[in-house]
Amino acid sequence: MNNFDSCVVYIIPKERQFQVGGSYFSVVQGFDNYIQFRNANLTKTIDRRIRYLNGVTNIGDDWISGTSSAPNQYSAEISKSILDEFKNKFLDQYLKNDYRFGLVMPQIILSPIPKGGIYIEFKINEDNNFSIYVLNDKVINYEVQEMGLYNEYSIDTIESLWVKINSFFKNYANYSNTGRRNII
Amino acid sequence: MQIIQIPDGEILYRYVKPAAFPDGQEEIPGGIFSDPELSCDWKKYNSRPQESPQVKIGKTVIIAINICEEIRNPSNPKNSGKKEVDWHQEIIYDPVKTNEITGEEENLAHSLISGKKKKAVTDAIVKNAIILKPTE
Repeated sequence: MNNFDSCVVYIIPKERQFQVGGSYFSVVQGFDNYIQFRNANLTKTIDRRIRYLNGVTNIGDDWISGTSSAPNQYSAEISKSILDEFKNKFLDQYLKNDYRFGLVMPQIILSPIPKGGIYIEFKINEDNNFSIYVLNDKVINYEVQEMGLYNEYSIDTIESLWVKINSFFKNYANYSNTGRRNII
Repeated sequence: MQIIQIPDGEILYRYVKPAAFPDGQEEIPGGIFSDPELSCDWKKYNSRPQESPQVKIGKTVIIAINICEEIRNPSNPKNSGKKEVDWHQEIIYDPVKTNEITGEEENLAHSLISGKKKKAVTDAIVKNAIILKPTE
């Protein structure tokens, strides 16, 4: 039982609800309930995104104006492994430890890429977001906006990508570092 | 042939198959704007995008992009907010005539947002784009 449980009501703005429906605000009483609510919704969102990746290779070429290719099995599988890793390790590392209080949860935005591949974005807010391009031809690039500044990287291994994701969330996912408080 | 630049304030449409978007995802993903030659229809020559042949072949999600300086010349916060030459986009009218050899159909509204699509550029497009509701 947490000291906050008896007196604090957590109000979660719509943009942090991961499209779970409901009115503009969802109200959850108690810190532990809030943590459960948040983790369950993030897990649900990731699971939905993984289901999407299971089927998106069937979209076929010519899925958007101009010339476009469908994502292949490679890009879908790598993207799924990134989301799995995010769900299993990120949640364990951060949500259950020091960073859980005040942690800003990202939106997880996916799409195919016209030249063939998958786009994954972890968006904390307009100034802090992490975009990964998993291309059909086995190239992975990522671009990061940190405190409004853009940086571009290419990687050799998934491990090096994961190191960068970890440091990004450590630095920017805590509301005190983003300059915006999303949890009232 | 004279190149026609599309001015600020004009609207370009882009058509996407619904299966490109995960269920429940409301945000427009920057990844769909990552092609260097980003193909669109200019509203000036196609005021009823719902009737586009693209919609008839299943690209029923219509995204409207509001052309502006932020897309044409994204500024670089690292460089005191100056325009970044590498990020510049040429936004031009590029009508397509029927090609009997390739089978390409006529599209007199066809336009391009042309240039490297760094994240700063795709972010700027996302900020100035909306998904049209079916009745719009």
